[in-house]
Amino acid sequence: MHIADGIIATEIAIAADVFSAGVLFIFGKKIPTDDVPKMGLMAAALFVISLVHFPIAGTSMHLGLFGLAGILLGWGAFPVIFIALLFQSLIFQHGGLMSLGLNAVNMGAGAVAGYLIWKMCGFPEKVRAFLAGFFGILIAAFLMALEFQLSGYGKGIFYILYAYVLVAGIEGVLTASVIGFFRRVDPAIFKK
Amino acid sequence: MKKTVLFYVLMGMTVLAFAHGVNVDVSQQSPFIVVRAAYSGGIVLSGALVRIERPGEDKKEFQSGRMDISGCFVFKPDKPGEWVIVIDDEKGHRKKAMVSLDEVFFSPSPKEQPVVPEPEIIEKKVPFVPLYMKVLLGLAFILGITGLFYGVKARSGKK
Repeated sequence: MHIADGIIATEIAIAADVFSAGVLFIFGKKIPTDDVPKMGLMAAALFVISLVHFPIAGTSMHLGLFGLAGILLGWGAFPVIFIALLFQSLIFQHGGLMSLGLNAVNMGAGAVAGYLIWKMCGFPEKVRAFLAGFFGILIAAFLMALEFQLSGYGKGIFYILYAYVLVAGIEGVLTASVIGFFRRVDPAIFKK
Repeated sequence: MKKTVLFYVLMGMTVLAFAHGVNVDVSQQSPFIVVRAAYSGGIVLSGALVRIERPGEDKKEFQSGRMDISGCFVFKPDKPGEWVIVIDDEKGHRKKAMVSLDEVFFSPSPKEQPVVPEPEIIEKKVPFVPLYMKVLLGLAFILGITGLFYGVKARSGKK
């Protein structure tokens, strides 16, 4: 899920860096003070979760919690994902500093999609949470595959999505379970 | 509820048992270069695509192929300089490695080679940091920044 430096075409990486800097500036200014502790804890969870990886289809994949971040933080999930990615890149060498914006756009889009699904669907809460988690990671994977395609690596796009469907299922179940847990112990966390 | 909490605590503990990322090892065994790649968890990248670029020929392919079942790839370079090796498992993991080759690497067979003094081994003074320490370091940074940001926002009175 984390794209390393020098892999994607430089123009795409720079465009994504500029875009994410803009989004960061806009949403960074609008952060309500009361949300800051929640955002910090979410950033910590996102930072750690990428270490839980599964050997699937001959490769290694990990959870993202993008849907959960979207549900709990809405548009504020983007700066949180950016910070988590920054430290993952500096400490674990997951991704890179040049491709930080690219990774933030991919995963941030997943979180925003999760938020929109959570807000818009008319399904029961647990189903919405599952769908938010499921599509949160699938959309991030789709954008990553698209960037590889645009950079001339070709063919892998459908295979990547196929491999990520299982991870998305696990992520969906986890998100639904966490949301159910929060609903029982602290429903105020959902206030927006 | 206790069960749910226990579930997440156990899941959190598994974090320290796994790591994610790709490690590449490039060794010079004149006249060949041997490339090995594995995920941080130890699974080798068998079947991964490997692309080799010659020095000074940016993005131009010198050779490509797939890693063998043990995550190994061997190629024979033909000139000194900085060779680029790109490894791609076609499932979202890519890693770029470089290897710098000098004239000595391309010297003829050992019998004809001039006696070259053993190169001095310079130890890399990079301390090994265990994964759990890295995790704690990252969490400390993130939570520390959160605290600072919260303090600044609260003082400025913006809501």
